[in-house]
Amino acid sequence: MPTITLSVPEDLKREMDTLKYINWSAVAREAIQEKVSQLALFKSIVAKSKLTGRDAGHIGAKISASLHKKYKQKYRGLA
Amino acid sequence: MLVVIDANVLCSALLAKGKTADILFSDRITAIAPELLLAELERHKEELIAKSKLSDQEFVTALALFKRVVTIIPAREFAPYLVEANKLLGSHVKDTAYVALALCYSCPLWSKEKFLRKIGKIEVLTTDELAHRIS
Repeated sequence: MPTITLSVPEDLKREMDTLKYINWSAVAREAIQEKVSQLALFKSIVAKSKLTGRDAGHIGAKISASLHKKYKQKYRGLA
Repeated sequence: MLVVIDANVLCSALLAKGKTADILFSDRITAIAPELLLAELERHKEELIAKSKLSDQEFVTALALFKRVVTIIPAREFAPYLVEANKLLGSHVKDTAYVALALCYSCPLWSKEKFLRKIGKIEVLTTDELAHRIS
């Protein structure tokens, strides 16, 4: 298995040293695996997307407009 | 790096090509968004599904993944900045919540909206600029 080196802040290292029964290598491995899986899953989904940049801009503007409408209803003094 | 994300950028993460998703899921940024943004994205689900041709299940999964990487900030936190943001925006008021959040956290806004660059009081970064900043 390849080996990597991680940098952590001094205070975090001190806390880690007090928790002697935790396998930090396994903790890091799981965190990295989860991150890789998340992005891989997301990219496998959007790889099939037919959305265009123009669509994204158009729908994004509509979402922002409806979001603002909600804020306008809740907070007085907004145009 | 803390950065406010707007609806346009979130929708752009659903494009088959481009670096928006790579940046959004990277650990080099912490994306924050105003309360209700993801709920509004969900409300526009039918249109996003129709245009993207993703299945309902694929869209739901993508939204669930968004929820893991975008931190939603309660409106009460940045409410004191809403009126100021609203005034800065003139006729582009739809972006009020994003600008208020950026003012509140003194952090950049990740947006493609060209007008926002003119308001001056906050830093606005395009996807390319943000990619360069964190590389």
